[in-house]
Amino acid sequence: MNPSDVFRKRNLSKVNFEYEELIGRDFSDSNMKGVNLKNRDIHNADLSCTDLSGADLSGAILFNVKMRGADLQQTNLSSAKLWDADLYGADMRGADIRGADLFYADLRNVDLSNANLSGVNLRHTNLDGAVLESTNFERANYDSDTLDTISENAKSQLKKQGKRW
Amino acid sequence: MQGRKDEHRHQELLKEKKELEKNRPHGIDEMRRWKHDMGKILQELELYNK
Repeated sequence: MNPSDVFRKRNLSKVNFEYEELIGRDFSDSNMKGVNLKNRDIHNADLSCTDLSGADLSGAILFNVKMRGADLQQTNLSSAKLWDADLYGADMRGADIRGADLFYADLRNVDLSNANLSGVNLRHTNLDGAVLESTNFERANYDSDTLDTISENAKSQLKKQGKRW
Repeated sequence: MQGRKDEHRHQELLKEKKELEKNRPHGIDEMRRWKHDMGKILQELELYNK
């Protein structure tokens, strides 16, 4: 077994990650419900199809992470650095994403219903096919690339609440 | 003449953007630089979208 694979397909919800090096690790298909990864550096990690619902990832460095199909319901991602992250198809209903940096992130087909995206950086974020019901975009930064990927309804919502960069 | 020059710069920026997309770094400092460089390109490209 590859040493980076020891966290794959595991129940890690009660694990204390305080002394673990997490950069580039493979956590795919694991249960990480409610874990505390606040302010941790987890860049390049694989969290595809991982259950991170209710977890605290606030302030975490998450650039280049793979979170395809991850369960991020009610997850705290406030102020997280999610540059170039792959969140394709993730469930982010009710997530707290305030002040996060989603520069160049792939959020295609993500469910962001009731998520709080106030103050986020959405420059060049791909939201194609994303569900944006009751999503809060207050003071969110966006550019023409962001607008090109969303529906007319969501476009007017984003224009009304956010700030064009 | 101005229009041709602008179009030339536009094409140059698109090319630089493609290059950066192909060369994504993995280290934190390189990624910060990547983000900064890409941000500058997007900022200039945004002028062509207005």
